Amino acid sequence: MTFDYGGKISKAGYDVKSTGIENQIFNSEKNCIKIAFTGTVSDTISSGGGSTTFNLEHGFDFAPGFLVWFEIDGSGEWFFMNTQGSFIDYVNCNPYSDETYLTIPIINNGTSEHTVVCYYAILADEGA
Amino acid sequence: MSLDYGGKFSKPGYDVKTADPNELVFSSKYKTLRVKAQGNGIITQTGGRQVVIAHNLGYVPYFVAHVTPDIGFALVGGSSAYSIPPYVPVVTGACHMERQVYAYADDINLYIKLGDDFGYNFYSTGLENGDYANQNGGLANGLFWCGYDPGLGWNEDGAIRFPQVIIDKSANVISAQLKIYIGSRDGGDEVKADVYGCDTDNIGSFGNPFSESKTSAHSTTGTTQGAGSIWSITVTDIVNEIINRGGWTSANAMAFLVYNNGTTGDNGVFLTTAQDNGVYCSNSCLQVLKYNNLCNYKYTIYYNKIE
Repeated sequence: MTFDYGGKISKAGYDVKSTGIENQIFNSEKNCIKIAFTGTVSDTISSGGGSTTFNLEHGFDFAPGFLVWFEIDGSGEWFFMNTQGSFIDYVNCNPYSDETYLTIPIINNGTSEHTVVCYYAILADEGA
Repeated sequence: MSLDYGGKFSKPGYDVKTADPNELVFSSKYKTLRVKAQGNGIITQTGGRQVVIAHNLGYVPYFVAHVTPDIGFALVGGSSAYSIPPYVPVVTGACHMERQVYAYADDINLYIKLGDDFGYNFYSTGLENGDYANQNGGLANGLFWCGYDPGLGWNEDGAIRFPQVIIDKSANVISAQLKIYIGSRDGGDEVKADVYGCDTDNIGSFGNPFSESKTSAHSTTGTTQGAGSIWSITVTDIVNEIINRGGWTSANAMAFLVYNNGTTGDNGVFLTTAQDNGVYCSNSCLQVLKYNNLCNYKYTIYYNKIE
């Protein structure tokens, strides 16, 4: 028994039967990035190398892909993971995943204490 | 009445009724990334070294930005390769530099910005006696001063030489900064200076650089900065004048004369070798920007909300 069924949806103005993948918004032959869980974690971290690590159990039996952004001291500005530099007082957030956890380590190498909020999206898809 | 409806598609070869999440291409159980906007462009020096892209969603959206490497420093993956910020080249022995590109979003905009050092080349002294000179103090490796000493009754004029400045004669230097690390200081009032270049194609190790012809371009400046700071002096016109000389060739030596310009009282700044020992990026260096187009960027803003 095969499972040779599926579906596709084109962008407005394109014939779904003939248009290429670039003009489709859904094609069941192509994977969509699926967001399994989202949430936030936060902590206040001391200066000069203070750190904290969050281990978030995801429940998959594979290392999932993930996206993380972080905000410092309620600025309203959200930086993509792994950003670092003087403009955020050398705080860094370098997450990684394995078959059990999404791990979010945060290190404050700056000169001031900072409250860091991390927003994460764990994907129901394996990481690259 | 519950609204427990939905749909899912499995990958080819998997039974949609039993497939695991990663065996599905779509499931209404999971949100997907929904694209609001995509675009691309060039970040330029004259454009303020940043781009601001309005999304006007009223909340902070998911986003990703990719950029090409720092053309002033390294071409990791080639000049057309894109990477996700931050892009931070690391060179063994280099002092700290802000060479990353970073992106962030707020309720209104996506911002893509360049670190302060992105795009610049840095040239250090040769850390030789002949790279530092003082009008009234002779030559000494790493010793440089500028200001006034009322006790001795003399101007403290300094000179500094960069033995290998890699700028093509045809280049149009967009920005050049002479960086002087202030290792120590006398007084707290302004040290006033007038900075010239040595008007020479390829100046040799210093004998008495103050006897050399000076460039017509000069930079009148001053600083009240304290020890541990880096005094940044704009020398763009001076550098362009030197590389426009008939005999200039890339990798020639270039030197600058920093004259006291009316400093009063016992005020001076001092550089010593201990603070100027980096071969890739010495604390005192010549920082040159040769390009206006600094990097290409691409971005995607999603409807998904960071909350």
